[in-house]
Amino acid sequence: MEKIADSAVVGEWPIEQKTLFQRIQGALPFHFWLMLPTIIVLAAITIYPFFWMIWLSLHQTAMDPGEKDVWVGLGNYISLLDDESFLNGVKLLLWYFVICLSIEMVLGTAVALLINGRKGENLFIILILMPMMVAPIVVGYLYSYLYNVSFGWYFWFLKSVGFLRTDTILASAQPVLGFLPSIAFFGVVVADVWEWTPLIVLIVIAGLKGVPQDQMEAARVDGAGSFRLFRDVTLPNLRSVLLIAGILRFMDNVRYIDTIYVLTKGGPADSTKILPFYLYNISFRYFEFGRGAAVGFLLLLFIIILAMFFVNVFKKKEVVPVG
Amino acid sequence: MAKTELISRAEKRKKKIWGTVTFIAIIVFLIWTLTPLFIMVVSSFKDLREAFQIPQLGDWKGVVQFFQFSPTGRHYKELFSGGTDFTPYIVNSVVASLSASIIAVILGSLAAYGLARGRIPGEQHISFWIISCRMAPVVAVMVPLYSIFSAIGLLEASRWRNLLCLILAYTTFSLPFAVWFLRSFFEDIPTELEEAARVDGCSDFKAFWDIILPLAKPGIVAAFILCLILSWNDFIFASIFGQQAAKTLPVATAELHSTVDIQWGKILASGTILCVPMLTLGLLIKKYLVQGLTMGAVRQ
Amino acid sequence: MFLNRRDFLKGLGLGGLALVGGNIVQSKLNLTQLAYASEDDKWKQFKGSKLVFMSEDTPPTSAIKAKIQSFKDLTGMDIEIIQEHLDIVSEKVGIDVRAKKGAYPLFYSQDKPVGAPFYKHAEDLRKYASDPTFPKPTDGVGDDVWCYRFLDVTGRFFGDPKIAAYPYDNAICVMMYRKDLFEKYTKQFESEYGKPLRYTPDTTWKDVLDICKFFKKANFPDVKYGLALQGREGWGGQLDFQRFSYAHGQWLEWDFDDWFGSEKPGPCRWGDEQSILSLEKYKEVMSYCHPDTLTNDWSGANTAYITGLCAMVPNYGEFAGVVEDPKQSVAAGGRTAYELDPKGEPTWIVNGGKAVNATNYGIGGIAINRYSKPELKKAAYLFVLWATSYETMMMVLKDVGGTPDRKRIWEDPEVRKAFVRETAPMKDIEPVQMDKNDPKSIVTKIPLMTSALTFGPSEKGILPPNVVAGPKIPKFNEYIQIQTSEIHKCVAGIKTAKQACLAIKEKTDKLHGVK
Repeated sequence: MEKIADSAVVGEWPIEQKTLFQRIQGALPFHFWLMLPTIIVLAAITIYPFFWMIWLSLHQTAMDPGEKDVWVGLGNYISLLDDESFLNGVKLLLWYFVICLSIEMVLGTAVALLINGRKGENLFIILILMPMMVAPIVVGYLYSYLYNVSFGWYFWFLKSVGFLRTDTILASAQPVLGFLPSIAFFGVVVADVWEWTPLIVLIVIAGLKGVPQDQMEAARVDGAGSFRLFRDVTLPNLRSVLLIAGILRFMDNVRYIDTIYVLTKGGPADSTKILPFYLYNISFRYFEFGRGAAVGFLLLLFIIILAMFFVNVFKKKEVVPVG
Repeated sequence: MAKTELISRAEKRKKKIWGTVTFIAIIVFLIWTLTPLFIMVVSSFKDLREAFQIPQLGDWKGVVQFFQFSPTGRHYKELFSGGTDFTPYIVNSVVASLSASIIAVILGSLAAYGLARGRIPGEQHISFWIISCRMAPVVAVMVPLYSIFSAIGLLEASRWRNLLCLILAYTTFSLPFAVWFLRSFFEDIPTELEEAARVDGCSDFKAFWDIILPLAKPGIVAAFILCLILSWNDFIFASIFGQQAAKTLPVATAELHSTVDIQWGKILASGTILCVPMLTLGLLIKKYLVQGLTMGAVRQ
Repeated sequence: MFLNRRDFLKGLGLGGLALVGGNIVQSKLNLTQLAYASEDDKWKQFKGSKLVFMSEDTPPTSAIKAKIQSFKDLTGMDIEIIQEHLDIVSEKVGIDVRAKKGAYPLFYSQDKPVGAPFYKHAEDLRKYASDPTFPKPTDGVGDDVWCYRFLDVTGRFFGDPKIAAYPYDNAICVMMYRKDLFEKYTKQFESEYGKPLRYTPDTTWKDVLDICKFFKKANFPDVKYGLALQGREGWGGQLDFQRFSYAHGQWLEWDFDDWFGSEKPGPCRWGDEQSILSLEKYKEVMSYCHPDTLTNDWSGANTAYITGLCAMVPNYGEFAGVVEDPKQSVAAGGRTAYELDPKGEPTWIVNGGKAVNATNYGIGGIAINRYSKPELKKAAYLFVLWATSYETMMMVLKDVGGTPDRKRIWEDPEVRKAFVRETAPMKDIEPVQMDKNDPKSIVTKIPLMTSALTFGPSEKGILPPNVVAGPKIPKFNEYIQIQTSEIHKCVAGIKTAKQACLAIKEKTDKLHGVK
């Protein structure tokens, strides 16, 4: 065989030197090999627990020595329909992520718009980043220090200003305005909004920098006022950025119970017992691992379905991506 | 001429008012953001009875009470002395989160590149499966994970075993994030660069390593830092898997809330310490974060 | 290319299971030799071994940890003592026994939250007690050496004669109140209510309600509320309500023996007249209490008291240490007095029962994990003996104001002197000025055994008719969540007392499979 010039050899080994390993390597795309370690690690850590979780959810687990787990089929799931705490947990979870996400997205975007391009932008960003860097558990302790009736500065402030009618924040269980969650719930929301709005600000600012300037100029020349500029030029270009920010925040918002664990432990009167927290109780307080697995599975399903929903809603309006 | 002058003056005034309003809005937001941290840091230097002092309701002048105290470093000293020295906990936190983030970013960038470039069947599905690993509620996967780790022997009373266990646990949620985050960076880099490299005689891998990777550096650094923050701040995994041997800082802080005594002084001090490394890190990465996000943000 | 993690881990060697929860070094003497050996040799029979003790984060354990050298010297063994929040202890022990690993040969068995669910996983200590190869502790470990029925509470469950744990510490509830504030405002109180502002063993919950109403209305600058209760979800809230419900007619949730509990509780009494009335009155008292009640457990209520916002708080003996510490507490320096919990108000009793000073508690025991290796379990028993011995408990009491469970200590004349502040041995501390405006209010001494200040009332509280020890049921943890959750809803006005009680009944009976 004629030797091909070196420069023309494109990732192919000269035929005489191919070993079995190289043949396999050549058969599968290079990119697949790159993904393999990740896939193996994630598969080891997630596939087994996933099927285990499903398996466990079909049993009623036994704690006593000598007793075996009992097969109950869909029994655990059916009993959840009747379970007031479960339904309460779902309802509160929906409230929780809707309220937190909306405030964080709107506030974050607004602040980003205000800061973008200003003098001192860098300083503002550095200062605004700080809450994000605090561990959720510390945020819990900090706010529990601030909300305390005996020595909490936030409590003192809100009560002195007259904004707070009740005598306590964290022990206030009545629904606000009759149908909204309790004040204790909003106390937790405030802690979450405080900690994570900076993340949204950061992501949106990055997105704003990516808005094509030529579009902005063209619109301005056309005589568009700032509001129209925002609606017709900025917003469409921000769409994918907002989607990233939204999904990222959503995923964490519905999983983390650190702050609630410290602030209210799910109380008072179950008013902050969002579903992940109830799940924690079932598994690690009552040791009913079967029931816990059922709730866990439903929660996972819920998160995945919602994430897919958001992605689809946003994807529809996008330009067809390359590749 | 006079008319345009008037118009531009009115416009200038409008702009100025708007400018001041937005400035005030930013300041308000900054106050909202920084007040809790300020209170935490200052209070950590107060003796307990002073830390519990607030003025009567409605007594606005009483706010000065916040600043009336004799500063004491007692709580910080107590954190590092005697039987409850926090130094090993800090070390554990650093080791576990650094290692997990490094692994996550290395494996993640490879996988992200593979996803971005490769034309593999079912690519969308694999991509979605990867990111859904991050969505699993921690509590739900803890029990099976506990069994796995226990079977491998990672839960024995040995520091490095427990650390390994934590690193593995942290990787579970850092890796999917790294992949998802970095994928768009790689998608943005035009394929012409690799074609050119191949024409020059580079193997696939060399093209990736020498040419593509440096271009994605801001994104990789940003991903590394975000993973680091998430692992450093974790509590639930560390409280169950960390055991005693590899106790991390958040877990140790939670333990200051003992049965009999909520040691507020030490909690506030520990909280301040917990924030400091991350704050410094935040300052360092800000440049990369914004730059990194800009690169990949538009595509998804 | 890159070593994947599985291979890496495999390379480390999976055989590391030898170190499951401590390790054991066998005794060199055989059993017969041991039976006739000296006490010293019996203590040292497992020299070189290592144990693990999973404990709650309480002062006795902290004191023992500080003095652990004496255990090491006595037995030649090493021990790792882990201190966690009770919730976390419960979690980790639960995971461990389900996996049957025995990672914690010794665990803290709090009578109801940990003891009742896990008693089947604890070793029967009787077989070690009668074993001659073990040393004999001072006074032994029979029923009569412990305080009234403490061994029943921590060790015996559901009618099973097995002893699952020996008593190790206790948390007995007494009323702590600011006698200085009572003296200060008694005239004003008397003019409004026609009786002096005093707290005695005959003070009823209705008197307490009056005191609360008084303080809340008066809104003094140095105290805002009369009482801080502990209504938090979970055990804190259950104990809190129990003090109220038992005081009125000795009402119990079930009709099984309260000391031993039951595995099959049967239908509960929630929803009967007395329970509804008690809940209504409890709600009324709560409405005048410190408002953070629903979110406070014992430490939260304690903080409310030591920051001076309320004049009274029912709390557990071990908190006396913090209450008497002038660095943290405005209630220190002799301002606090201790007394029995309030008596039931006779006019609020409709079930024909007695009005009593309902006292409840949590008696913590040490249990041995049955899944540990047999020799390790024997070594663990040595620790149990040491930690629950007369000498150790006395040392802990003198060191941090511990909570001893042996009668002999309570009857010791030295300790009895410490019951009352005037005769209690004191220790010097850095002077602290209690009142910024009063240079004379300097405190230079605090009692040596602070918790002993609560022993006077506790002594009476742990005896019938005042004491309520249960309810011991395997599903205790889920039951208390149900109960406190519904009570919260009633207190917050979301449900009426009747609705809440009936809801508790429905859910609890469903939990126990009662139709």
